Amino acid sequence: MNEARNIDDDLGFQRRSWALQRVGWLALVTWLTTSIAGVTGPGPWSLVRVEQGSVSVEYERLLHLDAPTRLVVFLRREGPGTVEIGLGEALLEDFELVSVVPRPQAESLAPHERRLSLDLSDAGVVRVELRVVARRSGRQVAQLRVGEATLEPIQQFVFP
Amino acid sequence: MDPILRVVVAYTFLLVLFRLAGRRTLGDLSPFDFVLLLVISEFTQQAVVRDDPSLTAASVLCGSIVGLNVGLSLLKARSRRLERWLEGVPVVLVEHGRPRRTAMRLARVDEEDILAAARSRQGLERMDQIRLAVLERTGGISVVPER
Repeated sequence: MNEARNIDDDLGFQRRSWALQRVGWLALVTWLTTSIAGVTGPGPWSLVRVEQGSVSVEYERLLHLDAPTRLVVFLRREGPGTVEIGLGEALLEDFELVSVVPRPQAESLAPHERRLSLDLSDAGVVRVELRVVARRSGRQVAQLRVGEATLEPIQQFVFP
Repeated sequence: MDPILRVVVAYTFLLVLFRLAGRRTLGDLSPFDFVLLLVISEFTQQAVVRDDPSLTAASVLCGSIVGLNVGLSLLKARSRRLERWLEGVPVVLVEHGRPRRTAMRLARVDEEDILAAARSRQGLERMDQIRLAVLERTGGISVVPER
Protein backbone atom coordinates (compact mmCIF):
# COMPACT_ATOMS: atom_id res chain seq x y z
CA MET A 1 0.00 0.00 0.00
CA ASN A 2 1.36 3.40 -0.95
CA GLU A 3 0.54 5.40 2.21
CA ALA A 4 1.17 8.81 0.68
CA ARG A 5 -1.30 8.21 -2.15
CA ASN A 6 -3.54 5.65 -0.44
CA ILE A 7 -3.31 3.42 -3.53
CA ASP A 8 -2.95 -0.30 -3.03
CA ASP A 9 -0.33 -0.68 -5.76
CA ASP A 10 2.14 -3.50 -5.31
CA LEU A 11 4.34 -4.00 -8.35
CA GLY A 12 5.97 -7.10 -6.82
CA PHE A 13 2.60 -8.80 -6.42
CA GLN A 14 1.51 -7.60 -9.84
CA ARG A 15 4.66 -9.08 -11.42
CA ARG A 16 3.88 -12.47 -9.85
CA SER A 17 0.33 -12.14 -11.07
CA TRP A 18 1.50 -11.34 -14.62
CA ALA A 19 3.94 -14.28 -14.53
CA LEU A 20 1.07 -16.58 -13.55
CA GLN A 21 -1.03 -15.04 -16.30
CA ARG A 22 1.58 -15.98 -18.88
CA VAL A 23 1.68 -19.55 -17.57
CA GLY A 24 -2.10 -19.53 -18.00
CA TRP A 25 -1.74 -18.32 -21.60
CA LEU A 26 0.63 -21.20 -22.26
CA ALA A 27 -1.88 -23.63 -20.76
CA LEU A 28 -4.62 -22.09 -22.91
CA VAL A 29 -2.55 -22.47 -26.10
CA THR A 30 -1.77 -26.10 -25.15
CA TRP A 31 -5.47 -26.75 -24.52
CA LEU A 32 -6.47 -25.26 -27.88
CA THR A 33 -3.70 -27.06 -29.80
CA THR A 34 -4.59 -30.43 -28.30
CA SER A 35 -8.26 -29.73 -29.02
CA ILE A 36 -7.47 -29.17 -32.69
CA ALA A 37 -5.49 -32.43 -32.71
CA GLY A 38 -8.49 -34.29 -31.27
CA VAL A 39 -7.45 -34.91 -27.68
CA THR A 40 -10.53 -33.23 -26.23
CA GLY A 41 -13.06 -34.40 -28.78
CA PRO A 42 -13.47 -35.25 -32.46
CA GLY A 43 -10.31 -34.73 -34.50
CA PRO A 44 -7.47 -36.59 -36.24
CA TRP A 45 -6.12 -38.16 -33.03
CA SER A 46 -9.59 -39.29 -31.94
CA LEU A 47 -10.60 -41.01 -35.19
CA VAL A 48 -10.25 -44.80 -35.04
CA ARG A 49 -10.74 -47.49 -37.67
CA VAL A 50 -11.01 -51.09 -36.49
CA GLU A 51 -10.86 -53.93 -39.04
CA GLN A 52 -12.26 -57.37 -38.36
CA GLY A 53 -12.47 -59.79 -41.29
CA SER A 54 -14.60 -58.31 -44.04
CA VAL A 55 -15.97 -55.59 -41.75
CA SER A 56 -14.37 -52.41 -40.52
CA VAL A 57 -15.78 -49.71 -38.28
CA GLU A 58 -14.71 -46.09 -38.15
CA TYR A 59 -15.62 -43.91 -35.17
CA GLU A 60 -14.45 -41.12 -32.90
CA ARG A 61 -13.22 -42.44 -29.56
CA LEU A 62 -13.50 -39.02 -27.93
CA LEU A 63 -16.88 -37.33 -28.14
CA HIS A 64 -18.83 -34.42 -26.76
CA LEU A 65 -22.10 -34.80 -24.88
CA ASP A 66 -25.22 -34.01 -26.95
CA ALA A 67 -23.15 -33.59 -30.11
CA PRO A 68 -23.86 -35.81 -33.13
CA THR A 69 -21.21 -38.27 -34.24
CA ARG A 70 -20.88 -40.95 -36.93
CA LEU A 71 -20.28 -44.64 -36.64
CA VAL A 72 -19.37 -45.88 -40.10
CA VAL A 73 -19.43 -49.57 -40.96
CA PHE A 74 -17.60 -50.71 -44.11
CA LEU A 75 -18.62 -54.12 -45.48
CA ARG A 76 -16.79 -56.02 -48.19
CA ARG A 77 -19.53 -57.77 -50.16
CA GLU A 78 -19.23 -60.48 -52.80
CA GLY A 79 -22.68 -59.72 -54.19
CA PRO A 80 -26.10 -58.26 -53.38
CA GLY A 81 -28.07 -59.49 -50.37
CA THR A 82 -29.45 -58.60 -46.98
CA VAL A 83 -27.23 -57.81 -44.02
CA GLU A 84 -28.31 -57.42 -40.42
CA ILE A 85 -26.66 -54.96 -38.07
CA GLY A 86 -27.31 -55.41 -34.35
CA LEU A 87 -26.93 -52.45 -32.01
CA GLY A 88 -26.09 -53.60 -28.49
CA GLU A 89 -27.94 -52.58 -25.34
CA ALA A 90 -25.23 -50.19 -24.11
CA LEU A 91 -25.21 -48.33 -27.42
CA LEU A 92 -28.98 -47.88 -27.24
CA GLU A 93 -28.89 -46.73 -23.61
CA ASP A 94 -26.11 -44.17 -23.91
CA PHE A 95 -26.69 -42.95 -27.45
CA GLU A 96 -29.66 -41.78 -29.45
CA LEU A 97 -29.79 -43.20 -32.96
CA VAL A 98 -30.66 -40.30 -35.26
CA SER A 99 -30.37 -41.85 -38.71
CA VAL A 100 -29.00 -44.77 -40.72
CA VAL A 101 -27.80 -44.39 -44.30
CA PRO A 102 -28.79 -46.35 -46.34
CA ARG A 103 -32.18 -46.64 -44.67
CA PRO A 104 -32.87 -50.11 -43.25
CA GLN A 105 -35.68 -52.12 -44.84
CA ALA A 106 -36.78 -53.46 -41.48
CA GLU A 107 -36.11 -52.86 -37.81
CA SER A 108 -36.84 -55.15 -34.89
CA LEU A 109 -36.14 -55.35 -31.17
CA ALA A 110 -34.50 -58.40 -29.65
CA PRO A 111 -33.87 -58.88 -25.90
CA HIS A 112 -30.44 -57.24 -25.91
CA GLU A 113 -30.20 -55.45 -29.23
CA ARG A 114 -31.95 -53.48 -31.92
CA ARG A 115 -31.69 -55.14 -35.33
CA LEU A 116 -31.48 -53.24 -38.58
CA SER A 117 -31.92 -55.17 -41.84
CA LEU A 118 -30.34 -53.57 -44.85
CA ASP A 119 -30.90 -54.72 -48.40
CA LEU A 120 -27.60 -54.03 -50.13
CA SER A 121 -27.63 -54.32 -53.88
CA ASP A 122 -23.98 -53.38 -54.49
CA ALA A 123 -20.97 -55.63 -54.42
CA GLY A 124 -17.55 -54.41 -53.24
CA VAL A 125 -17.12 -52.15 -50.23
CA VAL A 126 -20.44 -50.87 -48.92
CA ARG A 127 -20.63 -48.02 -46.45
CA VAL A 128 -23.31 -47.90 -43.75
CA GLU A 129 -23.41 -44.72 -41.69
CA LEU A 130 -25.06 -44.57 -38.28
CA ARG A 131 -25.53 -41.07 -36.96
CA VAL A 132 -25.81 -41.05 -33.17
CA VAL A 133 -25.87 -38.50 -30.34
CA ALA A 134 -24.17 -39.23 -27.00
CA ARG A 135 -26.65 -38.76 -24.16
CA ARG A 136 -24.39 -39.66 -21.23
CA SER A 137 -20.92 -38.46 -20.34
CA GLY A 138 -18.04 -40.67 -19.25
CA ARG A 139 -16.58 -43.90 -20.59
CA GLN A 140 -18.86 -45.87 -22.90
CA VAL A 141 -18.43 -49.37 -24.29
CA ALA A 142 -20.77 -50.20 -27.13
CA GLN A 143 -21.33 -53.47 -28.93
CA LEU A 144 -22.06 -53.85 -32.63
CA ARG A 145 -22.90 -56.99 -34.56
CA VAL A 146 -22.71 -57.26 -38.34
CA GLY A 147 -24.27 -60.45 -39.70
CA GLU A 148 -22.89 -63.29 -37.60
CA ALA A 149 -19.80 -61.40 -36.52
CA THR A 150 -19.80 -59.58 -33.18
CA LEU A 151 -17.29 -56.80 -33.51
CA GLU A 152 -14.76 -55.79 -30.91
CA PRO A 153 -16.37 -53.45 -28.35
CA ILE A 154 -16.36 -49.81 -29.39
CA GLN A 155 -14.73 -47.85 -26.59
CA GLN A 156 -15.46 -44.17 -26.40
CA PHE A 157 -15.17 -41.37 -23.90
CA VAL A 158 -17.83 -38.66 -23.86
CA PHE A 159 -16.72 -35.28 -22.52
CA PRO A 160 -19.45 -33.39 -20.62
CA MET B 1 -24.10 -33.53 -15.17
CA ASP B 2 -26.37 -31.77 -12.78
CA PRO B 3 -27.40 -28.28 -13.99
CA ILE B 4 -26.07 -26.58 -10.85
CA LEU B 5 -22.74 -28.36 -11.28
CA ARG B 6 -22.65 -27.15 -14.90
CA VAL B 7 -23.17 -23.58 -13.66
CA VAL B 8 -20.33 -23.96 -11.14
CA VAL B 9 -17.97 -25.33 -13.82
CA ALA B 10 -18.93 -22.62 -16.34
CA TYR B 11 -18.62 -19.86 -13.70
CA THR B 12 -15.18 -21.08 -12.55
CA PHE B 13 -13.94 -21.50 -16.12
CA LEU B 14 -15.06 -17.99 -17.11
CA LEU B 15 -13.56 -16.52 -13.92
CA VAL B 16 -10.17 -18.09 -14.71
CA LEU B 17 -10.41 -17.24 -18.42
CA PHE B 18 -11.15 -13.56 -17.82
CA ARG B 19 -8.42 -13.36 -15.18
CA LEU B 20 -5.99 -14.86 -17.72
CA ALA B 21 -7.16 -12.49 -20.43
CA GLY B 22 -6.13 -9.58 -18.22
CA ARG B 23 -7.77 -6.33 -17.31
CA ARG B 24 -7.02 -4.57 -20.56
CA THR B 25 -8.98 -7.09 -22.59
CA LEU B 26 -12.43 -5.99 -21.53
CA GLY B 27 -11.69 -2.98 -19.34
CA ASP B 28 -13.07 -0.35 -21.69
CA LEU B 29 -15.64 -2.05 -23.86
CA SER B 30 -15.28 -1.36 -27.56
CA PRO B 31 -18.17 -2.40 -29.85
CA PHE B 32 -16.17 -5.50 -30.82
CA ASP B 33 -15.56 -6.40 -27.15
CA PHE B 34 -19.30 -6.12 -26.60
CA VAL B 35 -20.00 -8.52 -29.49
CA LEU B 36 -17.32 -10.85 -28.08
CA LEU B 37 -19.12 -10.89 -24.72
CA LEU B 38 -22.41 -11.72 -26.43
CA VAL B 39 -20.78 -14.60 -28.34
CA ILE B 40 -19.19 -15.96 -25.15
CA SER B 41 -22.54 -15.79 -23.34
CA GLU B 42 -24.23 -17.64 -26.22
CA PHE B 43 -21.62 -20.46 -26.17
CA THR B 44 -21.89 -20.79 -22.40
CA GLN B 45 -25.68 -20.65 -22.34
CA GLN B 46 -25.99 -23.62 -24.70
CA ALA B 47 -23.61 -25.76 -22.64
CA VAL B 48 -25.29 -24.91 -19.34
CA VAL B 49 -28.96 -25.07 -20.36
CA ARG B 50 -28.57 -28.09 -22.71
CA ASP B 51 -32.07 -29.30 -23.58
CA ASP B 52 -34.07 -27.99 -20.65
CA PRO B 53 -35.56 -24.57 -21.47
CA SER B 54 -38.16 -24.73 -18.67
CA LEU B 55 -38.85 -21.79 -16.36
CA THR B 56 -37.96 -23.95 -13.36
CA ALA B 57 -34.53 -24.80 -14.81
CA ALA B 58 -33.95 -21.12 -15.68
CA SER B 59 -34.78 -20.04 -12.11
CA VAL B 60 -32.45 -22.70 -10.66
CA LEU B 61 -29.61 -21.71 -13.01
CA CYS B 62 -30.04 -17.96 -12.44
CA GLY B 63 -30.24 -18.53 -8.68
CA SER B 64 -27.07 -20.62 -8.77
CA ILE B 65 -25.05 -18.08 -10.72
CA VAL B 66 -26.18 -15.11 -8.60
CA GLY B 67 -25.56 -17.18 -5.46
CA LEU B 68 -22.05 -18.03 -6.62
CA ASN B 69 -21.33 -14.38 -7.30
CA VAL B 70 -22.61 -13.27 -3.90
CA GLY B 71 -20.68 -16.11 -2.22
CA LEU B 72 -17.47 -15.13 -3.96
CA SER B 73 -17.91 -11.45 -3.05
CA LEU B 74 -18.36 -12.47 0.62
CA LEU B 75 -15.20 -14.58 0.45
CA LYS B 76 -13.30 -11.69 -1.13
CA ALA B 77 -14.52 -9.35 1.62
CA ARG B 78 -13.13 -11.76 4.23
CA SER B 79 -9.84 -12.50 2.49
CA ARG B 80 -7.79 -9.62 1.11
CA ARG B 81 -5.34 -12.14 -0.38
CA LEU B 82 -8.09 -13.86 -2.38
CA GLU B 83 -9.39 -10.50 -3.53
CA ARG B 84 -5.93 -9.47 -4.77
CA TRP B 85 -5.46 -12.74 -6.69
CA LEU B 86 -8.90 -12.62 -8.25
CA GLU B 87 -9.08 -8.94 -9.07
CA GLY B 88 -5.47 -7.81 -9.07
CA VAL B 89 -4.21 -4.54 -7.62
CA PRO B 90 -4.12 -1.03 -9.12
CA VAL B 91 -0.99 -0.41 -11.20
CA VAL B 92 0.59 3.04 -11.30
CA LEU B 93 1.45 3.75 -14.94
CA VAL B 94 2.54 7.41 -14.80
CA GLU B 95 3.93 9.37 -11.88
CA HIS B 96 4.50 13.14 -12.19
CA GLY B 97 4.53 12.95 -15.98
CA ARG B 98 7.02 10.07 -16.08
CA PRO B 99 5.69 6.84 -17.60
CA ARG B 100 6.62 3.59 -15.85
CA ARG B 101 7.64 1.63 -18.92
CA THR B 102 7.91 -1.83 -17.36
CA ALA B 103 4.49 -1.63 -15.73
CA MET B 104 3.00 -0.32 -18.98
CA ARG B 105 4.55 -3.10 -21.04
CA LEU B 106 3.41 -5.85 -18.68
CA ALA B 107 -0.08 -4.37 -18.40
CA ARG B 108 -0.28 -4.02 -22.20
CA VAL B 109 -0.96 -0.28 -21.99
CA ASP B 110 0.77 2.24 -24.24
CA GLU B 111 1.17 6.01 -23.97
CA GLU B 112 -1.69 6.56 -26.38
CA ASP B 113 -4.09 4.69 -24.06
CA ILE B 114 -3.02 6.90 -21.15
CA LEU B 115 -3.27 10.12 -23.15
CA ALA B 116 -6.70 9.09 -24.44
CA ALA B 117 -7.88 8.57 -20.84
CA ALA B 118 -6.30 11.90 -19.84
CA ARG B 119 -8.06 13.73 -22.68
CA SER B 120 -11.48 12.15 -22.16
CA ARG B 121 -11.56 12.28 -18.35
CA GLN B 122 -9.53 15.36 -17.46
CA GLY B 123 -9.18 17.37 -20.67
CA LEU B 124 -5.38 17.03 -20.53
CA GLU B 125 -3.21 17.12 -23.63
CA ARG B 126 0.33 16.21 -22.55
CA MET B 127 2.02 13.57 -20.42
CA ASP B 128 3.67 16.22 -18.21
CA GLN B 129 0.22 17.44 -17.15
CA ILE B 130 -0.48 14.04 -15.54
CA ARG B 131 0.40 13.65 -11.88
CA LEU B 132 -0.84 10.09 -11.65
CA ALA B 133 -2.29 7.58 -14.09
CA VAL B 134 -3.48 4.30 -12.60
CA LEU B 135 -4.73 1.12 -14.23
CA GLU B 136 -7.60 0.28 -11.90
CA ARG B 137 -8.77 -3.20 -10.94
CA THR B 138 -11.78 -2.77 -13.21
CA GLY B 139 -9.50 -2.29 -16.25
CA GLY B 140 -10.13 1.45 -16.67
CA ILE B 141 -7.37 4.09 -16.47
CA SER B 142 -7.91 6.87 -13.95
CA VAL B 143 -5.94 10.10 -14.30
CA VAL B 144 -5.05 12.70 -11.67
CA PRO B 145 -3.82 16.02 -13.14
CA GLU B 146 -0.83 18.00 -11.88
CA ARG B 147 -2.00 20.97 -9.85
